[in-house]
This record gives sequence, C-alpha cells and structure tokens, in this order.
Amino acid sequence: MVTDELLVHRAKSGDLKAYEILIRRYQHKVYDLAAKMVRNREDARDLAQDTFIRVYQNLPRFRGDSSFGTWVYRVASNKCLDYLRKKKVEGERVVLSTFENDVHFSDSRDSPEESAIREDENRRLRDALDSLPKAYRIAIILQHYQQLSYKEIAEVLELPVKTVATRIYRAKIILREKLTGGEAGAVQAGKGKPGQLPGKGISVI
Amino acid sequence: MEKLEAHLSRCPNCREELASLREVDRSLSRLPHEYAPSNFADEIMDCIRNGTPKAQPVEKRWWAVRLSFIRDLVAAAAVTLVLFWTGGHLFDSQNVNLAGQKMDIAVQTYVRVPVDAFTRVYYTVDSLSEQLLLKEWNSNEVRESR
Repeated sequence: MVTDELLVHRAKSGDLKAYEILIRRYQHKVYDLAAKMVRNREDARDLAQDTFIRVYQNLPRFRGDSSFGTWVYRVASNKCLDYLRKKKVEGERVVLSTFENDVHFSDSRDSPEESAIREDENRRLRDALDSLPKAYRIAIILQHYQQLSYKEIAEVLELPVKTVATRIYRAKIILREKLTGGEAGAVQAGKGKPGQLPGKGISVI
Repeated sequence: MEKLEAHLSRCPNCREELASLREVDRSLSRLPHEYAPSNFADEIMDCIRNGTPKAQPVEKRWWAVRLSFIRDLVAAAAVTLVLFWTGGHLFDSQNVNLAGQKMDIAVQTYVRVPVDAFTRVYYTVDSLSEQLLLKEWNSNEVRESR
C-alpha cells in the first residue's frame, strides 16, 4: 500500500488522484467522527467534506510535523467543535433526535421488536454521549470509536496527554452514571460548583 | 502493569470501578460505525476540480477608509515635523562630516584588528555619539547665551 507521506507529496505536486486516494482512505473515519459529534447526517456530511476541502487548500503548508491522519483528525475535530459552539451561540438544540435525518442505528436482520429495543438502547447511548461536554465527547469518540491512543488524541487536540486521560476518565464516569440512571452530578460531589463539571474551563453544553 | 494488577488483586473497590468502566466501554461499542455515503469522495473531488469558493475580503465602509487615510496623513505630518525640528541641528554638514570621518576610522580599525574589532567599533561609535551630543549641547548653550 502506498504510504500517506508519498500520497501527500504527490498531491502537493498537483496529483489529484493521489488526494482522492487519501480521501477514500480517511472518509469513513472522518464521517463517523462528525456523525457521532453532531448526530445529524446532513451536517456530518458537510463537516466531513469541508474537512477534506480545507485540508486540500492547506496542503502546501503541511510540513509533516505530525502524520497526515493526525492533521485530518485535527481539522475535523476543530470543525465539529466550531459547529457545536456556533449552534450553542445560536441557541439551537444540536440533538435532533426527532428529525428525519437523525442518525439511526438498526440492523435489518432484527425483528420489529428487537429493532425497537436496539433503537431504544442506542438512543439512550446517544443521549448519554450528547450530554457530555463537547471537550469530553470529542476525546472519548477519538479514543473509543477512532481507536486513537492517548498520545495521538493529545496531538489531535493539542493538549497534554494527562489532560486527555483525565477527560476520557471523567467522560466515562458521566456516561456510567447516565447509563445506569444515576445523576452525573453525583460523581462530582465536593469537586466543584453545581452545574460545573470537573476540569478547568469545561462547561456543560 | 504488574503493580496495577497486584493492587487490583487486593482492592475490591478498584476492581469494581474497573469493571464498571469496562461495562461503559462495552455499551459504547454497541453504537455502530457510521459510513460515508457512496458519492462522498466524488463530491469533494468535483468541488476541488471546479475550484472551491475563496473567502471574500470584507469591504471597508467609506468612513473607515477616510478615517484611516486621515490617520496616516496625521502620522506622516507628525514624523516630518519631528525630523524638521530635531534633525535640523544634528544633521548639519559639519556634524555629518565628522561622523563620516569617525566611522571611517572605526571601519579601518575593524579591518586591521579583527579579534577585538567589535569592541573597538562599539566604543568608537559610542564616543562619536557622545562628541556629537556634547557639540550639540555646547552650540545650544552658546546660542542661548547670545
């Protein structure tokens, strides 16, 4: 298989085919990241496509300090976080669970009852993920679904590895409470003010 | 890792904590991967081939343009005035000649003795500027006494 480095080099020289190979190599990962962050297929598609266009536009400035994959994830993460920030500023709900284009997860082999149960279970999981502050959500999505190491996540998010580890741990604590029906605030008793999550500068969306 | 396992083997609280976090991982794994639509890459490539829209420069309002022009004009006038009033004394032909001679000596010293060249040049220029200032000071005093 041709390496990313070689494809980047060729794409920089104007070889569009090389860039297309890079897109096909990363498209599902970036799309999955966006879909799990914003829970809306149309927006996930736009964000993922914008990511690849942005990366292409900035290709001449890519010096290879990090891997191409890390760079793509960084652009995609920033795009998703900006999107969520703008949505918050606009006062809109990002969770569009009743919308037609909401991301649904079901298996065609399931019976209607099984399908309904699975849908319900996934919706609870999605709600729990959406309840996380966006800084925690991106960290756990990169770790669990994109299978990145703590060090890679630290590079993507430009954070110390320790901060990444703390955010992932706290995200799991909150998810555990949500999934078992407890209150997320209970796990932070004595660790901060009400309505504020542990960690510096992390606010609840 | 061994230390961790040893601790877990004798700490039921940590074992329970770890088990519950693993259960969270198992729950997260139930959410399936989302795949990009089949025409996803083609759409991006079409966009790139047709040229992506570039950011439009923000148009300045007329009063902003006029204000910035006036600001530049005032700054230029101020610099001209300062140079006219202060530079007129310092840059008379006698001082400039003297500075040229001293600089010539400094350069010659630098070429001949490269080891301590920098120090010599520094002190020569320093003494030159001191002489210029003294000269300026004296001429001012003479002018005022008249």
